[in-house]
Amino acid sequence: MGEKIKTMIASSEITSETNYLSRRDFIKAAGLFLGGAGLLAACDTTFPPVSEPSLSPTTTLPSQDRLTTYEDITNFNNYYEFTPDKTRVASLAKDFRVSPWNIEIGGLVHKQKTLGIEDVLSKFPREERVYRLRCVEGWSMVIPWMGFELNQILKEVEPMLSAKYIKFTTLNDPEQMPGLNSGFYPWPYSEGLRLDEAMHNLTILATGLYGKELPNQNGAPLRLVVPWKYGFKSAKAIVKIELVAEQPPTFWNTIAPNEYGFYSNVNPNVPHPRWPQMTERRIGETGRRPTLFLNGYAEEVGHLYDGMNLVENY
Amino acid sequence: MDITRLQFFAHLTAWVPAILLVWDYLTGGLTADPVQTVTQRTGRAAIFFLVLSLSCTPLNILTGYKGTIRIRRALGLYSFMYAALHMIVFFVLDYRLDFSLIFLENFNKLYLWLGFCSFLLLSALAITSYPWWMRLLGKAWKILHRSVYIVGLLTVLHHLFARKGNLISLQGDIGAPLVYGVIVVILLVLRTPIIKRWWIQKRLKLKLPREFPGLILRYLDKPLF
Ligand code: HEM
Repeated sequence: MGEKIKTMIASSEITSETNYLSRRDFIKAAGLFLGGAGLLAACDTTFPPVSEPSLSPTTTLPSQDRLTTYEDITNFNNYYEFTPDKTRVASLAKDFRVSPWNIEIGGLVHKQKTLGIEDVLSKFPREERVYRLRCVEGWSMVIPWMGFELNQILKEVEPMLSAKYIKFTTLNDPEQMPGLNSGFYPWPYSEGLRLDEAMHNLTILATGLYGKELPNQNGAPLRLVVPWKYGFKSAKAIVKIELVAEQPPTFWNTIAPNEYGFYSNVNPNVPHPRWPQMTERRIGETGRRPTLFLNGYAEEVGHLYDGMNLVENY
Repeated sequence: MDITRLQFFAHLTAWVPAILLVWDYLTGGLTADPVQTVTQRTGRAAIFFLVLSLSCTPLNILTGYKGTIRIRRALGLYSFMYAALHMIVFFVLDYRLDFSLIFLENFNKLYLWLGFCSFLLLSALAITSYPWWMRLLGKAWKILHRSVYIVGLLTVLHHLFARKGNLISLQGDIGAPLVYGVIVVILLVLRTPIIKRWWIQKRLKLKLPREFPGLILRYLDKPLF
């Protein structure tokens, strides 16, 4: 298990990004959830052998992971509830109302709950998690999230034994989210995880980034972050969390099942009909770097998929 | 100078996407992922001018106005210019000419093969667009250059499959390519000999009102200076 860093720093102590960046050395020393990842990609024997030839040597030199700038993280957002244009989300989400905000947690649970966002913030202490984010479109970032493990909230509601999956639903308010007026999509946005994936301690609900409140364009007030899966699995502006018995339908999987599977684990061995999956462009860098198996978190989460064919279950 | 106002506007418009790209490059407006942004923007400019060029002849058939024919070739060449930039960004900026990686990542992507075929054909048309080739090839030139409709269809499919979505369930980010698709099909229909003959006869019989559009057309056909 990767070493967990809990930096319980009040957001008031972190005044600026510059200040923040000066802590980067400390963050690096802590190992984060980034370390050692380069080694993991090639040597996992529980998975079917790679069918494609490996990359040419020039592309396999992983350089160090550096934090993506706050500017880039908050101005380049895939958030179709607002618009498919990544650069326009920030301005369209400017006046999004994140309070009052209720999150309903129900389904196959013993203690159904509706929590206000302020309850969530006070009940679950935030910690910092620096994760890679790999978008299925072939670009990636490194983001210092603030949040808490999803399993904390799940333990509160006590899932029934029959609960096998978990479904997340995003706010469906066309007045605030202009993208919802497009008839081309099966709104509302919904995503899902297997319960063991949801319980894993890398899976967090994020309420902040860079030590600040979560910006609207990044999914405020509450979003999921599952760092070993493609970015679209991490639903934003969550209003409902349901525990269910069957694998729930998910947004992109409904639109194009052959392109976006339920699992959607980052996997350089599963080609996508459109985007490159063996390599990625890291935002802020030039050139391409190899995409890591399970986004570099194989050591932590690989066991969830023991005995599963991840090429078939993409 | 015998350049008409219409020609002048056409050339002016054609440089707008390039100027905006340079402007955004200089002012840091190329987003966090400049490679994807420039790929998409040059691609969109290429299909836009391709479809404009494609519509010149059908517009001439529809209205009888001949001015569009004069800008047809230039628009096609601008489309080729943006398509070439688009391809260069992909090969040089994105993949650093790492051809083995380009192949490994992309050999299984249909939309790229469609784009590639489209580009090859478009290059052939661009090269042979000069009067010298027209004389050399004679009748074959006409046939060759009708294949611009194939370029149109290939490009629409390339565009469609480059977008997140699904044609069969009509879902996803496919609005723009669908619009281009409908336009290209309509243009193709207008060029089928039966429709074309039927419409031209009808148009002559109808004696379409010339005054209002006529004024505009006379304005456009005036020499610039
Ligand atoms: C060798 C030839 C070509 C290559 C390698 C190529 C590559 C690409 C790639 C990688 C994309 C996806 C960009 C992204 O969304 O990340 C794309 C999209 C596109 N390409 Fe091409 N292309 C080629 C030829 C063409 C040609 C000839 C045209 C037009 C005449 C064209 C027009 C477009 C358009 C309109 C898009 C959609 C952009 C958008 O998302 O709005 N491409 N192409």
